[in-house]
Amino acid sequence: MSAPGLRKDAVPFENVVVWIAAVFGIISAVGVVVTMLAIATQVLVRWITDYSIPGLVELSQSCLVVSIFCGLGWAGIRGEHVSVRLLTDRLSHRVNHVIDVIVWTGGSIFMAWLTAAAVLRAIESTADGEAGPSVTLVWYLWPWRWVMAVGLAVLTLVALTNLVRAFLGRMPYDSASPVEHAPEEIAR
Amino acid sequence: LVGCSGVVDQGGGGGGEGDEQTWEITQVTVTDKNSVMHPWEEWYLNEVEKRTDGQITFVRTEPNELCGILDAGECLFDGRAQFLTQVPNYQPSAFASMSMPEIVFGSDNLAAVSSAVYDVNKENPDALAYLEEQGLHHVSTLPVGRIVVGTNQPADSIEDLRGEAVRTSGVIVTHDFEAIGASIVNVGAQEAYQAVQSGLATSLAGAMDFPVVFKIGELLPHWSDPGLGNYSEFSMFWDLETWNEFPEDLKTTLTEIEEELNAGIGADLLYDAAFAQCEMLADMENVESFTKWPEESTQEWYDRVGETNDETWIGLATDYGLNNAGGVLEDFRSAVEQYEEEYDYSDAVLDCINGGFEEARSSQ
Amino acid sequence: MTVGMVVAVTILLLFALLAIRFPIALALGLSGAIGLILLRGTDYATATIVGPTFSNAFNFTFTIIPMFILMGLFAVRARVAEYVFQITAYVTRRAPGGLGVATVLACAGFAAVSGSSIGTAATMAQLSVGEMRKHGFPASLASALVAISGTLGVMIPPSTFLVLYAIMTETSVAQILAAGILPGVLSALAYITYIMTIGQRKIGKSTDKDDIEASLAAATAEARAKQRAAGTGDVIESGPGRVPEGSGGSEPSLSAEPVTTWRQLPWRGLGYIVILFGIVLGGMYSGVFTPTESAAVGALAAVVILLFERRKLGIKGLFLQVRGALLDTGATTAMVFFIVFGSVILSQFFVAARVPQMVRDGMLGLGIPPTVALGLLLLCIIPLGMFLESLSILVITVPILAPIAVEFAGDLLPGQEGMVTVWLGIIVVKLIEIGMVTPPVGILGFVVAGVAKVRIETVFKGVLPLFLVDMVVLILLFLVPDISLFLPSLVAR
Ligand code: NA
Ligand code: NA
Repeated sequence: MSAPGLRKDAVPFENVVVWIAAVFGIISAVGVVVTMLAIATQVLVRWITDYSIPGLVELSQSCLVVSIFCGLGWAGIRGEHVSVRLLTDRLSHRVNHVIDVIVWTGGSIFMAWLTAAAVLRAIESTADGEAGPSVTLVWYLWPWRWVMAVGLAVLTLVALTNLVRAFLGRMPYDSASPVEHAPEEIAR
Repeated sequence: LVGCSGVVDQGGGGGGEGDEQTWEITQVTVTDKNSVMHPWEEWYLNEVEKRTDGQITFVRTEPNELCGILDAGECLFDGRAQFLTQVPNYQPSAFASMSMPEIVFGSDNLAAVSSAVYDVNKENPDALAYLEEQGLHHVSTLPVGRIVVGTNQPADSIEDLRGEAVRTSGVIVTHDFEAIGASIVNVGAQEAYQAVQSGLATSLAGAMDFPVVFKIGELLPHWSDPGLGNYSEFSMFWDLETWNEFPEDLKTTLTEIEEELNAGIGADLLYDAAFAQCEMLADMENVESFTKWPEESTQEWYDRVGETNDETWIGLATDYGLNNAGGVLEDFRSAVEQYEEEYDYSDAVLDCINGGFEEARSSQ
Repeated sequence: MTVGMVVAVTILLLFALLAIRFPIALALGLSGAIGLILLRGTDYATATIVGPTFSNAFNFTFTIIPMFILMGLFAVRARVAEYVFQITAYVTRRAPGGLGVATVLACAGFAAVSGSSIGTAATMAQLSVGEMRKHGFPASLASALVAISGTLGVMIPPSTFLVLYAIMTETSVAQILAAGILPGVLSALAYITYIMTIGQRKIGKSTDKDDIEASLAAATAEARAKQRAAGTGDVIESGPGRVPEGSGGSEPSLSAEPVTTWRQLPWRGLGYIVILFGIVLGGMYSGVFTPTESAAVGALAAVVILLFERRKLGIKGLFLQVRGALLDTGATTAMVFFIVFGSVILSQFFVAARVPQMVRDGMLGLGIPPTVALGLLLLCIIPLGMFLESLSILVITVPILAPIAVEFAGDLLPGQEGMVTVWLGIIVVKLIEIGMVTPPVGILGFVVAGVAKVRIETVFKGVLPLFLVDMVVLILLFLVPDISLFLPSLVAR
């Protein structure tokens, strides 16, 4: 079981997509660390001084947005997005390639739609200076809407990569376990 | 067109058929059925349906059903709903011109406050421009009522709150609590119960909904009114495009209803609901006392921080895109003064403390 | 097209997309979105797929999910899970299904600190599915046990879900939280009984495709290892990614060294678990932390344990461990929430189509006695739960059910009329939780499948008998209201 990096049969632009997804995966991990440290700091400061640092709740929420959306493409490359393979496992190799094309055409269209909608919403939010609930301080929402839009765009890229691979008759990056891939890719 | 987008085809009930066009309006709300705000909202929806002879009907949705509580406005802005009830504080950048009632140490006359917000949002050019930019037609804003504080020990001065971990919300309120040495516990309203139960929060400050609807009265035995005045407010809106689509006669009818609601009916409905809550508080076994702080204590708090609140509000409203927020606040203040003379309003929470609470207790 | 036809088309589309192995999140989102287009047009659908997606991510209560996942991953890499399950396996070596029992108990323990079923299931999937499989549990049994035990997260307090119910129905929060305890414990006991009787007969006799593959892979790996001759040591050092020990079942016999005496057991593992649970539980119940804070502090403690336990790896090795856990957490969090988003989009479609109201009106129109109608309406939650996200079900069904229950409280609970909403709340929450593990949209099943790298159909296969166990529990809760009402009757209103 190796790292989910590049496939031997990678198409040229795939390197770029995998690389982008990995960078965003790291950003997602940074979001997780910041959440953990921010909340732990809050607990410590409150324990010692009885003072609550303003804005940490908002920061944690924002980091959650980062962790989720920046992690989407990375999870896609790693084949983490679960699917039901009960039926398709019984079908022939050729039918499965047709299914790959259908799945990733649909997936790409949906993701592109979602991304476009998120971009428009982010533009609107930026223009309005949209802010979250005023609990203790002003916290703008628009930067996090952009994080969502960009994260979805990365997953769209991964979906397109899968589509291209499917067209070329190669295995997409999806939820089939590496074990399942192994014999086929060795055979190729 | 927008009005029709809210219409579900129900076998010929759609828009544009026959003589009279009809609108099926999707309503999105944050108002819980048990909240003191519910009668005010229901009154408006019912009157509209009645007086437009069914030309306008509302599809009522539950809080959290279509949009979450913290971003209910989203449903109006993106076209999923055409009528909205929201707490301006939850989405401050979209509702800045309605949030003046949040400035604590304000008027005790909630009827006057409600009318003043309405007037400002109909007359002040900056407020109107702001509403238009947000795509809103303002219907009514109702304050939620006085801030009450729940504590484990009886409290009647700022000394008693020093060092307390207080669950409360709102930039101005939290600022004023921090100024007297309390620390703020920042959890959502629905997590407030578990925060107090676990001891994370030792006190709570909010409107009467908190002890009664959110059941904090089960946990904190002593309740008091520190004299800060109103806590927050709810507002109702039409989506502006939908509103603009209504023919003139319909707009006239709707405006009549709006004006009646803002000229006292809303405040009266609030009084009844809030007084009923007082009786519910009296019914809560764990609650031991409900009192008002002496004037001196309130004054001491005001002297400490009260003067800064206007500046804080103006700063926030400006950040949220309201031009000349200072002018809007000035118009609001003079309208409040004018209405204070017009309305002889008595406050349900104060009436409750001055007798209603004990009466309800003894009649059990 | 009528609304009914649109609903039918959408459900069929969902099944079709699932059948051709669309990623589940995309299948849910796409079918929901197409349903919305058919119902309300493209603009409406576009708005619906964006708004709720963002608001379900920018949400403080959900921060607990990555924090618990992170804590679990650190604990796995620190070998805490392995140690604890070694101890459990030894202690319960003569008891049937000991590891399964330990898993259910651990889930119940987690439930006592976490209000989130998804958080509970994701953490425990990380910690225990791999260990159970190493000890011969079929993948279906191991994963389904974790998925169904995840449902305890909402029933055993703290539970924001129960608090929300109390606010909606004017029920005492103290009472509803107290009411959740015994039904939660009863459910846990029911799962344990199952695992100790029928379940344990399946141990070591798997017919799951996942297990067959895993043993095949293990054989292949062994062959390769022999070829390469030079061992590289730790499996998990192989780069920034995948599959630490304990999450795949790919090395069935390696770490299950037969321990023969009490002394040889890795007792410090138990110490670590006591520390982690002490921080999380103790911190919360003493009021030092909120639940979310307890999760973050627990994760921090787990990383300290990891650094200590694996100190021999050196700075570079430790860095790789921590980095790997963080990257895994990011990817798993993204995967889990992507499914939540898809499910929310589909829910928005059902809300827009007003399906629950159609169901209610159909029911009430039948002219059957109200108590029977209430029972039938309650049962309708299960099919709703097959498609809807759980908060939506609560928000939609409670305003319909509660007034009926209150009106006929005298028939339903003679002598305890005042407690009818408490009892109803427990039944409703139990039904909603059952919906979280049933196909086609059983979000806990998806989460466990994703985290533990098991096929979703394998999880659902294992859920079926446990679903029947839960139905028995449900019938008991319905027929013996005192199970729910005994503790709250001791709590003042
Ligand atoms: Na719980
Ligand atoms: Na389900």
